Order: sequence, then structure tokens, then C-alpha cells
Amino acid sequence: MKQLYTAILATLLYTIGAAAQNPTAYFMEGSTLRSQLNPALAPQRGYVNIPGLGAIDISISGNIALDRIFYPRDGKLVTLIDPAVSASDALSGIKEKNLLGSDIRMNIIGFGAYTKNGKNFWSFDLNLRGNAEINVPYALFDFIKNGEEGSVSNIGQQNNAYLEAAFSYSFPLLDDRLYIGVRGKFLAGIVHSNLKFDRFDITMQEDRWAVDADGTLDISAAGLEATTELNDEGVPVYKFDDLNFTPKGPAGYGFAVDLGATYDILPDLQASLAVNDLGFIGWSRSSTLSGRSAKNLEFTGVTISGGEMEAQPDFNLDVLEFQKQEPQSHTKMLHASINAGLEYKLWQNRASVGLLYSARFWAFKTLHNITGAVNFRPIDWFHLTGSYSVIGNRGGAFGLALNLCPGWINFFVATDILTAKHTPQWIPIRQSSMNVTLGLGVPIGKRGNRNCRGYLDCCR
Amino acid sequence: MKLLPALLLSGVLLTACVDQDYDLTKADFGNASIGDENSEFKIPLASIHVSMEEISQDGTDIQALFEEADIWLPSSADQVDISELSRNAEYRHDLILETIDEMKTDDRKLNAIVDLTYRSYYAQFAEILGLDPWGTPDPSAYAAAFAQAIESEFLAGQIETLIEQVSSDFLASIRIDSIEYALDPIDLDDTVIDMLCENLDPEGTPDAKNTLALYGTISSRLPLSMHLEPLFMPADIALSIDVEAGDEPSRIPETRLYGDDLRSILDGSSVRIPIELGTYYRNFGFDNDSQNQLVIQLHLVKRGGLKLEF
Repeated sequence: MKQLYTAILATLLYTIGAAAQNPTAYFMEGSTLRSQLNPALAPQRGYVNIPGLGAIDISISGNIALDRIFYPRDGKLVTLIDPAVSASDALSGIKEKNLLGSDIRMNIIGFGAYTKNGKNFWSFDLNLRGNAEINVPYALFDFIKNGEEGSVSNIGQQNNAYLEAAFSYSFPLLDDRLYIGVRGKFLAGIVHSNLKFDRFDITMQEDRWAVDADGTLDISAAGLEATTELNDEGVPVYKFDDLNFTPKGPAGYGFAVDLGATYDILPDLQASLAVNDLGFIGWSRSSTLSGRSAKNLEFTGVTISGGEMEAQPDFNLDVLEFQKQEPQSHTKMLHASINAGLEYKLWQNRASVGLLYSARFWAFKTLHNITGAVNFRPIDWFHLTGSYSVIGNRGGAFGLALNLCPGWINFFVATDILTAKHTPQWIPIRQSSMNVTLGLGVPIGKRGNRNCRGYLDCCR
Repeated sequence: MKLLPALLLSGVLLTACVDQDYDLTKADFGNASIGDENSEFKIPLASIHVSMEEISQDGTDIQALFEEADIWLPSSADQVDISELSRNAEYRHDLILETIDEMKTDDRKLNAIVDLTYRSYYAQFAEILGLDPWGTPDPSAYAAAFAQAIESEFLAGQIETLIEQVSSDFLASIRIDSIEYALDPIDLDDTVIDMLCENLDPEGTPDAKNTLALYGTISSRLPLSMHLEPLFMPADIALSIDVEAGDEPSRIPETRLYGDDLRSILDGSSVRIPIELGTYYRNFGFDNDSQNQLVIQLHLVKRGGLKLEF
């Protein structure tokens, strides 16, 4: 049982340590990453990304912040399951479903350009993408903190990593008021894992301690093998330590599309909408390892009768011990997201204000985010954005984005951790989301002719 | 206008701060627990079932012992203090005199004594009755000789003296041999054992919050009150239990344990149970339908959180 807690805590920390959808970057015109958030959006110029550094986007989103997991107590930093943290303190910050999800997107190869008309834009990207997600229900923390027997369900952890080769194309309609963008993506799956406990019931009564747990662990990765050992009942089982992974190639393939549109409601007022990552990866049977952990154990004490101890089952609480199951090929949908934005330009596009609504459909929960942004473009190659995102009901996060785009280079960086109270490791303490985005590329070609409505810095 | 971004940037950066209290490199994961110092966890440990045959004296089970005692004791004595019988000759003497008086007026008592002495003390009584001590006479002939003897002025005194002697020896020697069991190791998961044992306050800690104790109940079907002092070896854990006769289970008071004590018990131990008999409630009778005359339920109670190791 303690290994389950370890796995949960480790994943919580992992998802905190890592975090790909930076809302602050959405209105940053020079950013090449912007078109990843909405394929109808395009940077000001064509580009060739520096391999590996072209665009790195790391984001965490969830509904539980670091200060709900760690508590300073008596000069030490302890976890919420430390006895120094009272049950009322620990549980006050816990929700019915406690979700942490992290996304990472790293552009390996990326280039794009406007067509001759200066309005249609195409791009190609090869990205490495990964995400991790964990859901820990309130009932588990309630059991740990109050020490009362519990009925816990839907403990889950999911990880995905895949390569994404994408071709994107956007074009105007309705006399340039409407831009449509489509990105088609071919996906090569590297790893998919899904650990889920549908049932984890714990009984701690005076005359009976019992565990009734039913969980599954499915891992798809080419080159993954598990060494089994016989458990006390003589059944071959494996644990996490028994997994060996030697990467051999893709474990599955899939397709996805991003669909986006922008519409100029007024000359200076633009609405945008995108639905991203609509797609799936089919994971092959031969690369999949399926395991099940079904424990139904009870301990009622030993019985000694006539001086002899009666046979007793071993009360083994190791729930992270899996029996191999017949693997199946399976198809998993990507975590789709929706971005809906509204931007009003001021002072001949020297500045703008924007509002962005984002929703991300995680496996266990859908997370929503509303971001207000103020964007400054005081000079042609210097763009600055400040944003404020509302996250859950615990306030929000200030974000900053900087885009330097002189003629020979395009550098952008955006984050919402600069202004937050954070750990020495730059992990935000009170906000449950964290975004870091940066990119380095070389501009190519002339500026596009989009949205040029006579502004001074356009169409050069 | 161009100053605005700079002002904004400066302003927001001023709001940023590093909180050294949340230095993750110094995070302490080592002290996690289920529950807190106010928590209490109870867990079953063992159920010891003791049959009638195991409660015995030199191989004679307790029911057989008290069947004879019932003959030597007067029917009017509803409650008899067994420990007093062994150490108080006067108490014993008074009861036996009552029995002898009853024998003279009650044929059932007489017949019971005749039958008992024929079965168990024939050689001693045969001599007074004028029978062959080494022979095997007909029971009815023995009964007739016995009846004739107690009617006889000459023999009645001798018979009564012998009855008092035999019954006194018997009643004074009633005791129960200690019961001893060798216990196999108990297959309780190491995780659970660690949870119970690893954050206990050391011996002598004032106002200890994290403690472990052994406690339980004992149910008896016997018509006797008893005092038991089970001793677990090699942990040298002794319990002191007063058992009342009747249907209500008697409580085994808590005995403080430490980590090594519990590990020793769980790793395999022996238990010795001395039994000291108290009051014999003759109206209760023995319950032959119940296979187990004594059922000792042992539990552990852990106060304070259950240690979680990472």
C-alpha cells in the first residue's frame, strides 16, 4: 500500500516538475508557437526554427497547488500526509477530484512561410510531445489524514509521449475577415501508460482489516518487457521495478487535426476559435503490456484451536503487484483542447487587449482557464504581453511574454512564474498552473500581409 | 507609451518572490502517517480456543473433576470458593460434614457417594466394609455393604472418617494445569507491522501519544470464575485476566507493548496460560454443547498515526 502512496506522490512531484499551452503567448504576434494554439493564426514572417530550440512549451495545469501538497512546519517542509499537518489543514485544500496534468511540447524541426499573396501561410513542424496526468480523489486523502476506513475509487495516472509531424495551412475568406486554418498531424506513439484503480476499499475494524482493490496497468511501448516472479500464492506477477524498457521504435500510430478560425468582427476586434488535438493514437497489441492487480484480502487474526494455529492467508498489502493479462491493441484519444479568443487592437496595433478562454479535456477532468492579456508592440521588433489567468477559485497567475523579432532572429519567451510567489526551484507555490514557453528561430521571407489595415508597421 | 511596458515589467517583477520555506530540496518525506496523534487503530491479532480436554488436571478434564467435586460437596452449597477449599481446612471440613449429613438423609447423595467410592476408592473402602480390597465385587453387593456399614454403630464412624479424608484430599487438590501453546509465525504483511511498530514513543515518555497495546476479551462457558495470567515468551509479555462465569465476555485490560515485543510475538512464540480457579457456581452447570470452553480474543490498539514509509 505504501508503494501506491509513493507512486502518487512521485507523480504529483513529477507533474509539478515538468508542465503546453501557454495562454500568455496566444496574443503574441511574433511568436511562431502562436499558430500551434490556433492554426488560423500565423507569425508575422516565415521562419526556420533552430532545431531543438525552435519552440519549447512546458505547462502544468491542475486544480491543486504546491502549497496544498507541501506545508512548512517547524522549519521543515513536509507533505500533507505528515502528521504535523492537521487533517483540517490538509483537507481544506483538497477537492473531490485532485488533478494535476503536465504537458511538454518540444519542436525538433519547424519551418513555415507565407505564400506569394502574403496571406496564406503554411508550416511544417516535427514535435516531441508528452503529457502526464494524475487524479487523486479526496477519499484517499481523507483516509490517510483521518485514519478512518475508506472507499476510494478512480485513482488514476496516465502518461503519453509521441512524435508529431504536422503540416498546417491557413488562408483567408470573406475579403480577409475570416481566416481558416487546418493542421493535419501524423502521430508516432512512443509510450502510453495508464494506471487506474477503480476500487480501493480499506476496512480497519476491530475484528477485521481488509483491502479490496482492483486496478489495471496498461503500458504501450516498443521494447518494453516485464520480468515476472512468483508471489506467495504462486502466481507470476511483476512490479514497477520489474519493467525493462529498451526503445525500439513507435508503439503505435495515429492522426489528429487542429482546426482554427479568426474573424474580424470590427476592423480592430478579432474573434478566434480553435479546437486542437482532435485525434487518436492506435497502440499496437505487440507493444502493449497489460496487468491487473486484484486484491481481496482480509485479516481477522489467527485462530489457535487445540494448540494448533489454523491456516491463514498472507495479508499482503502490495497492491502494485500486477498479474499479466492478455494484451489488446487499443486506441486512445488525445487530450483535445479548445481556445476561444477575443482581441481588440488599440493605437494602430501598438497595443491590444485580449481575452482567452481555454478548456483542456484531460482523462479525468476538464480544466478551464480564462486569461486577460494586455499586449504592447511599441516598436516593430519588440513585443511585450502581460496577462492574468483565472484558475479555479484561488485567484490566478500573472504572465509575461517577450518577443524580440528583429530581421535576423526571432526569440520569444513567455511564462507566468516570474511574478508568482515561488520555490527556489521556480515552482509556483499558490497557483495551480505553470507555463514556460520559449523559442528561437530565424525569420525568412517578407512579412505577411494579414491584418494590415493601414497600420504603419505592417506590410513591410 | 514606450515607458508603459517597462513600468509594467518592473511592477510585476517586484511582486515576485522566492519563498525559502518551500525549498523542495529540503522536503521531508520521512514522517508520513495515516491518521494523527489523536487517532486510534484496532486490529485483531489472535483468537485462542481452549477445549474442555485442555482444561485439565493430570489429564482429567475440568468437567470430570467437578463431577466428583459435586459429589463431595453438599447440594446446598450453590457457590464454592475453590481456592479457599485448597487453603482453608476448616472451610473444607464444614462443607464435607454437610455432605455427610446429607448422605444420611438423602439417598441420591448416598448413592452418588457409593458409586464414586466404588469406582475410584474401592480399595480404601473395601477393607472397612469387609470386602476383598483386591477383588472385583458386584456393585450392588458393594452398595449393600456400604449401606449396612453406615447403619452400623461400629462402622459408621470409620466410614465417615474415611469419606472426610478422601474428599478433603480431593477437594484440597483441585487445580488446573497450565496450558501451553507454541505459536507459529503470524503472516501479517511487513507493511502493517512497520505501520504499527515504527513510530512508537520510547518507554518512559511522559504523556506518550504513540503507543501500542495488547487487549481483548475472554469468553468462558465454564461455571467458574478464574484468574488467568498468560505469558508470551520470549517477549515476556504477561497479561492478567479475571474471568467471570456466565455469558458476558470478560475484558482483558490493556498491556503496553513496544515494537520488539510485537515483532517477537508475530515471529513465532509460545504462550503459557496458568489458570487459578475462583468460585464454582454450581447452578450454572457445564455446557457440553460448546466445543470451546474458553475463547480468548486478542487485539492490538495503536494510538497515534500509522507510520508510512517511502
